[in-house]
Amino acid sequence: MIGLWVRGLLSRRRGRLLGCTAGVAVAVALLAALGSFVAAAEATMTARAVQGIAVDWQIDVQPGTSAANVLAAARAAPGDLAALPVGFAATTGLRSTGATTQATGPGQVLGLPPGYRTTFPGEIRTLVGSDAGVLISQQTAANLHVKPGDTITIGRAGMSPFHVKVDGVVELPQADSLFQKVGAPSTAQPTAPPDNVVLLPAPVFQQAFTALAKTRPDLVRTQIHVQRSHDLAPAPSTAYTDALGAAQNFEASVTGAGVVGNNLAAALGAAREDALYSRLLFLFLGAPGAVLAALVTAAVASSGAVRRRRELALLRTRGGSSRRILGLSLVEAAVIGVLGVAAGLAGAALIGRLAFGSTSFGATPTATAVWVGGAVLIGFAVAFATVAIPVRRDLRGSTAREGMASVRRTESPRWMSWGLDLLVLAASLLAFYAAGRNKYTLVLAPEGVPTVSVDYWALLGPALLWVAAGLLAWRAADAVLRFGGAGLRRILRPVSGSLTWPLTASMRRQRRLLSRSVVLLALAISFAASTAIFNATYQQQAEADAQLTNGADVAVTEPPGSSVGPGAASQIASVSGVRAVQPLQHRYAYVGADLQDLYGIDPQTLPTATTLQDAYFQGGTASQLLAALAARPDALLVSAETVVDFQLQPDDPITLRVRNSSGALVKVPFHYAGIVNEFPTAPKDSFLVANASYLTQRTGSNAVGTFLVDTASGNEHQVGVALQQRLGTSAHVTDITTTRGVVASSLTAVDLSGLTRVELGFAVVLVGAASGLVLALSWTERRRSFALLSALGGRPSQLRGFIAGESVVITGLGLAAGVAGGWALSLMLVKVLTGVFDPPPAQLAVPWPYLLLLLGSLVVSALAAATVAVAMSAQPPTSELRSL
Amino acid sequence: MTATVQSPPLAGVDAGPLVECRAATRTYGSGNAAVVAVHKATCSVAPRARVALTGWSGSGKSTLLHMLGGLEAPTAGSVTWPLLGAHPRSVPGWVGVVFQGPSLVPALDSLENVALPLLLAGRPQPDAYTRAADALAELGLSDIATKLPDELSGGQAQRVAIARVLAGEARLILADEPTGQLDQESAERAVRSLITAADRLNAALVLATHDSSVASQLSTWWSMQDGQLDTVTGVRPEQPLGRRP
Repeated sequence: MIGLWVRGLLSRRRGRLLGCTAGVAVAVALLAALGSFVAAAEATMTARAVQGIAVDWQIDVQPGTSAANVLAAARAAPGDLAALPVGFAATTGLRSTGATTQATGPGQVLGLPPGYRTTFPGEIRTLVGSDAGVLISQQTAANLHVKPGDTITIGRAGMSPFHVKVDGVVELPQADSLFQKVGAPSTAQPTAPPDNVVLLPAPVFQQAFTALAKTRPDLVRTQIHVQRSHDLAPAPSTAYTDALGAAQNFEASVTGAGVVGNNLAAALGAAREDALYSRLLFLFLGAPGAVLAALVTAAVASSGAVRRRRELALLRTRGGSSRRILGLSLVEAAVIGVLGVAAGLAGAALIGRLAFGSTSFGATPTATAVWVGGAVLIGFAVAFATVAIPVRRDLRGSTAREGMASVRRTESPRWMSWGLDLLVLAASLLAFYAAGRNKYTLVLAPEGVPTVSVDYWALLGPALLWVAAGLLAWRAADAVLRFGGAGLRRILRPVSGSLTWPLTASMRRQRRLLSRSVVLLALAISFAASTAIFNATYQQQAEADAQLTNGADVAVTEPPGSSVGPGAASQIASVSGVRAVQPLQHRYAYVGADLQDLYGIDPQTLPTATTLQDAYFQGGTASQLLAALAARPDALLVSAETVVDFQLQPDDPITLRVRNSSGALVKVPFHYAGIVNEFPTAPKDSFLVANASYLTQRTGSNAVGTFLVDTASGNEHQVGVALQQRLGTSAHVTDITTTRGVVASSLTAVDLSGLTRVELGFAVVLVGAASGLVLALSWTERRRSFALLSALGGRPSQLRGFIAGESVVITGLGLAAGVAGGWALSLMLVKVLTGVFDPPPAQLAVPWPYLLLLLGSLVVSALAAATVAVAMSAQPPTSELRSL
Repeated sequence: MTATVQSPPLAGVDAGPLVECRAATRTYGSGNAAVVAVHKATCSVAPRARVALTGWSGSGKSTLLHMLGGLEAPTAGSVTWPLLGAHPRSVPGWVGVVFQGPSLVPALDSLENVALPLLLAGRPQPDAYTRAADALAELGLSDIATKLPDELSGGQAQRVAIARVLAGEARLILADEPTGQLDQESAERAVRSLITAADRLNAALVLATHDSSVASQLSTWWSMQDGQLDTVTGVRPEQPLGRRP
């Protein structure tokens, strides 16, 4: 009996079977592909996080203990590949005696052992001169006006200065971590690395500071720099926990002789947060897709409900017991489940390979088992829920006679009278409000703590909004089909002609079926639209982040202490490909005792060279705040934090202390004109923006810090190279293409593009399926009615009009509801996921080409379905005629 | 195997048969799986003819009816409609069809089902609905005008299908086992309704049945056996026709 039933299904109900199998396959493939995304994302995040670390551990040897013992312990520690001792000494100041005498304040002198630069290549980068010998940092070289070959003196507390000849000028890309206060919490860390740094070979360092170490041990200390094995667990959380544990284990083993500055764990800690966000993105963007695939499957399965009920009724009249019939439906569900799961996993492996370069479904074997097991379970659950459960319901709820009925009088669903849709909408808004009160902080990964927490409740707002959008679409479709007969007839008359009356009557009676199609389409469109808008907004903000960091398409940064004025802009503008150049002054200013970056701009011309988003400012748009700055010469834009700290009100006077052209601090009065949160090249913490002309007038210096250069899109790197060639080593040129790769978080740069491709691809498939497949199957199931219309004299054009009319109504209602839902969902998603945006967006980015593609897919699917239905109806199959 | 039913022609318009089959053959499938449903049937139906097409189940009655109505084309031979001068599908409503099984559109009520062929023929909606209501009233079905097909009994549904023919302007009514699923009383009422409809429309009626009591109510009898049309004009069936002897 079972074999007979399965053979019958495969030969006679192939369309429905394939449709359901495809639905299950899509659900499984989406989930497994997202598992693949999370796996690939996490592994990449871990790899990227550790890739940028110059020194994994900086072990601070505690006073009174033996550095040699700590070094030996470090070399013996499991997982340590290399360990070298580095001397740190405080200098009272540096001095150069060339054509002019230049002096600096206190600084740091490092003693590097042989092989340091090859062991830790990321710590030091040579700019000019030799890689070895006495090296001086770029800013110090600028401060002292020295170059390789010049001699400087290093001040030593209580001792005579030590003379050295400079061999090279270097950059210290990781100065922040190099000069960290080991063991201190992040709040107690120095706000900036030292300005004056000299690197000495270890023997020279010993010669200079051995004596000082004896008299002033507080000024000379030793760190052991360690390179550890990067063979880490793929998941950042696990790798972080391991890294943290290893350091603690080491500290215990040396019994307090060394404190570990754990750069490895710090980097993994940041990646750990990204990893959690990637999981949240999966939940936000992936789960609705899987639910949608399940709904499409349910719709496909239910499109054969009338026929199935007839078959069941026939089986019952022939003596089939409920148990036997249920068993047969379970077999059908199992066949669909097995085929769908197999196809889905194969599809996911292929997608993973193509999109993420990985066929693995998890970062670890356990994760793989969880992802694959989950996807398989959900695949079977979808199959059983959509095929077997309706059969069970039919068996319980109807007699064989009732089972024969195909269209019953339609009442609106009971939940509508309860107002369930409005309740769900209200609950969604409440959840959204609650998340807002928590400032949308979804992920908490406290520094130094292995545990992380995710506020999954915040997901409730968008999830409920999606459900509410579906229910509201149902209510709207039900109302239009039920009460909008006259309006529908007016709209449909050009399409359906003489059949407009029976068409609207038919749609009114079948509004439950049609409303379901509308809901499905609306959900699919809102899913696709919100995913696309979210992703586009994400890309927009990632681009804004790169633009903020680099300043413009290309930035020409003058060395510290340079006196290059705005006139040099003409030299830059003469390079081919440059569209606009704007000088940006950079100073440091004291606000009270707080040292902040101060930028001098021309507010009227700056936007010609860089993009300023409204979100960068508070209390107005970008153009409004720039206008406020331009309105009075002494206007000043400050950070929100400064406004709070100094209790500033608009137009309040504020006096800054700024160095003038001769290096002396002078008081410059300003008036507070507005709040700035972000600014090109500015740091993330507090900074100030003023009029460049006023700053020049009050300080006597028009020195430009950075020239912001606008180029044609896609041309940034070439223009950057050309500018560097033109300017030589006199300035540092960076382009946005290079910066994009440097600043982007692992989440942005590597993985979201793959996720986007997968999400958007699935969204197009689901929208196509929701429109084309569901419409086609719905018409296929009613081909008997169409055959009848044809037998009664219906011409192909009339059948076409009938089908087109129904298609217009479903597609139109679904599109309208989907666009509205998608827009609302995008707004909420972007707000709730504020944490993944840096900087937060001022407005949504709408990817019109993709949305047009989506619309095209929708129209093409609906047209294809209608064409097939018309073709089938115009030539009614003999079997249909004979069954009349 | 030639049958011709002659009836007095209607003045000016009935000068010839409504439909004419010449060695019409209909084969389903091909090769070894080919099934010849109708084999070289030759016949013609005059205006206002009353024909009972009898035969066992599977003898080819439905296929012949479909070919007479232009719903299926012969695979060999020809079927023509001399009085119409065109294929009946190009003139909606010229042929009225009553099927054996439920043949009402499930999502439309009785009135809308009856009005459907009129709307398909291009009648304005108010006119179509008025005529549909009249046809239902004529067959005593006004009280079920707003009922959906699934709310009707088999007999009621069949009579609504007949009202659908009555509401139109069919010149040729084809009824395929219209009483096949009805009890005796319902079957009699359905056949009476069909004959009433044909009389009212001055249309020819070809009724396929395997029920001798139904066939006996018509003036002409054709029989089919294994796809062969037999001319037994004027001879009443003498045994039940639904089963092989």
